Amino acid sequence: MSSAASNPRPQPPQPKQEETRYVCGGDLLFVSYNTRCCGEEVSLRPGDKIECSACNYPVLFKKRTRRIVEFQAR
Amino acid sequence: MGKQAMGNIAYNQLRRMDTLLYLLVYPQKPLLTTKTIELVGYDKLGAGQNATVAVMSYSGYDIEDAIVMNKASLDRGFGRSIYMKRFNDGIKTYDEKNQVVIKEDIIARPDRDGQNFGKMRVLDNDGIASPGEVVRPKDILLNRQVPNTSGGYKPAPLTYKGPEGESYVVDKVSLYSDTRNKLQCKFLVRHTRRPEVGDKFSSRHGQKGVCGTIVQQEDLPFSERSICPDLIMNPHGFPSRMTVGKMIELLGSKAGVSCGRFHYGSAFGEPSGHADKVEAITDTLVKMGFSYDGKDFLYSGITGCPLQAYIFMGPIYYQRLKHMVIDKMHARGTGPRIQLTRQPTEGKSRNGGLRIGEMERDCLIGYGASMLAYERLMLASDPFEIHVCRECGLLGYYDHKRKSGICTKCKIGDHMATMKLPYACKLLIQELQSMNIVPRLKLANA
Repeated sequence: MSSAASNPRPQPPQPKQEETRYVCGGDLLFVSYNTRCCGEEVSLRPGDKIECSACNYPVLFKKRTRRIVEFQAR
Repeated sequence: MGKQAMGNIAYNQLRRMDTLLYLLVYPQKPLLTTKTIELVGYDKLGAGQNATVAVMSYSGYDIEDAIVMNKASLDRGFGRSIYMKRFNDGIKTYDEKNQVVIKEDIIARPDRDGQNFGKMRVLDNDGIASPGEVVRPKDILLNRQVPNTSGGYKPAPLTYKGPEGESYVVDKVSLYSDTRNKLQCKFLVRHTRRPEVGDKFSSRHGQKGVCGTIVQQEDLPFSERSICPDLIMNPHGFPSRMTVGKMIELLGSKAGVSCGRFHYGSAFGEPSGHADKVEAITDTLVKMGFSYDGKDFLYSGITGCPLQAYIFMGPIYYQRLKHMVIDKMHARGTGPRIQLTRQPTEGKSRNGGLRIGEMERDCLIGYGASMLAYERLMLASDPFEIHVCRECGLLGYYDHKRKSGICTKCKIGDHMATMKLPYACKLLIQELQSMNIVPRLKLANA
């Protein structure tokens, strides 16, 4: 409790971290075709509000992995 | 189409995050519809495929409504489906009384050097699995850690659970904030499934059946036009169920594919209606060079000789139902037990045992297989050794100091005997005692 009290937002010791990029989910919202589609890339740090920086849409999607993935065709 | 059929569920089906989603990879429009189906728009979202069905017996793996399937058709995509499952997790907060600071979980960066790195393979630097990664059972999707009392953190990851040996892929990962503004994640995991033995199929006439065997196309019968069935259905399914509609569907679809026009299969052939009557369909079939009754002359794929009978063959709209063996298959050797009764748990999700029920027990008794009944009902379930007093018939206990059993009521250990008994029975005795009923054990041959 004592260490947590001194630090209002507890974080693990974090080495220099390359930011993970996320994609705005605003294009999934079909309110009308005018407000559709944002697709802005957002980068978040731990503790940030989950929100698109361009359109304030509250859902973000993770970008696809950059690792090479092998699929098995069956 | 139906509740259990796979197919397209909506135009935005691939953008949704459903808990469970079953999709067909190549859905088709039925060759034989009704005007009502068209008006309602029922065929806008496909829920099955037009399979060429041969109504005949083949190999014995088609008894009791089982279906024989063509392996080449499966390779070409018949019945291929996508299974998607969602996993949810996120940061939880813990408020305790008299505390200013509210404790909350963290999503930790994966420990690349730790011994658990194998399970954290699919994680990114943010501790969240990324789309496109292949996951195996016990892989970590979200590296969540829970605060403990000493100010540190204890791992409480969200792990993927699924069948062993299958390659599931993380399809989509969405992040959002909950009402407390804390990060929440949804993971959509995808699996492509081709039909296998035990998967369930159905026509639109309620003629459901499981896939009994999958046969090489070379071994299946073929017609003089080299038409080979996608699946073979046993004719015994017809007489008792009287699904005349299925036969008419076969005829109508066959006329439909050969003349290039969707046919209507309503039962009412009144002059004002739209239905294609069997008579008209028959004429079309004859015009297209088929027999009027929809039967074809087939050669055996195994011997190459003509079959003895003409075979009723043509397309029928078949649906793949969402009951698949891979979700249901389960077996257990040893495993978890329920604390109260010390009997094995129940159900696949709890890695449970398979119950020998009352009727199965009756069979064992009727056959006189006493040792088998003893083994299944006690040794494999909840064996327990008790100490009984032969004088008063009540349960005692084992005194480790005196190295002998002691009766709690008589306070002496002179007449103690040990015996084996199901733990549930001992529990019953004690529960009855707690209700002021005293069951006493009379030992005959101790």
